[in-house]
Amino acid sequence: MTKKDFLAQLQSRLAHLSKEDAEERLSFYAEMIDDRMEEGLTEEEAVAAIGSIDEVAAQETTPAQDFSPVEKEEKPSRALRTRDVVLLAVGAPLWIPLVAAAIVVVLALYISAWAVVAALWVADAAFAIAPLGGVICAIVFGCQGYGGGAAFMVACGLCCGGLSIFLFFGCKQLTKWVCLLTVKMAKGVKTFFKGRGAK
Amino acid sequence: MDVQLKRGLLDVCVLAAIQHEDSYGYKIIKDMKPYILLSESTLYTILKRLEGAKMLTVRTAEHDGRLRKYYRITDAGRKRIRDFKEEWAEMTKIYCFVTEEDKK
Repeated sequence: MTKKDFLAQLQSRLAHLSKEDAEERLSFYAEMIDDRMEEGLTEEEAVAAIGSIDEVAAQETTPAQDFSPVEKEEKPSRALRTRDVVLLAVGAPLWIPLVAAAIVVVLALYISAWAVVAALWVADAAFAIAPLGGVICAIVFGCQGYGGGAAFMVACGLCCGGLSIFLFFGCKQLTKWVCLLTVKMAKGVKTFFKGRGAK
Repeated sequence: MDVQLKRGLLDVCVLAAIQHEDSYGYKIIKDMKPYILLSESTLYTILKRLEGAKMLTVRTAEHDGRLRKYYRITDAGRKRIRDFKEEWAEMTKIYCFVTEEDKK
């Protein structure tokens, strides 16, 4: 059988598939025959190597899109049953205050985290401008003839400046962590409400 | 052999055949021949399934005056091979357990 005959017969056997799907399969087989011929087989031999038209057509009865690569697990239905609704209603005086308290605690901790970050940045800013204050004090002390005091103030200012540099990196990292926490919390809340909305 | 298990094995075999370089249909069949005999229609189904799962990509290139489709493994495909290796280590443990039980 020639390649042309084989493809024509296969096409007639693939009538149940969409035109696009059938053409894609035909070009796949045409390529296979061409590759075999390129390796040295004659056209008849190459077609015969693919198998009889009946065998091929039998294997082609299932469209490829019917296969799903990942078997999606059916999620069990989470619809509330009557018993659950009754339990929720009866337990409301207990669980509503507990949930409210938990939300308040989480919010308080979250606000505290930002407060700590803000306080550290303010402290860092104070340390950063301390060298300037040190220099001003040193000038004042110097004018009054207190050389030792002036040197001490300059040294203090430099120490504070150094501390501010270290504190800057600490504050930066802490801010990053709190931002990440914010993103995670936002995603958590979004997922919670999205999940509820999907049900 | 269990159909699901066989299907999973064939998927990984095809992915393994293209993991080092892009390949085309006939070459994949030839490369797999020493290990598994694969018909064209089975290969087509597997390739479509893997393409649908984004484990490989397809490109068409000209070869000797005709068009040929080349398949390239993706990161998801490589991950599938890695997962298979890990799963198989567990399977081997279970196999050892089962065969030890037979000996008793």
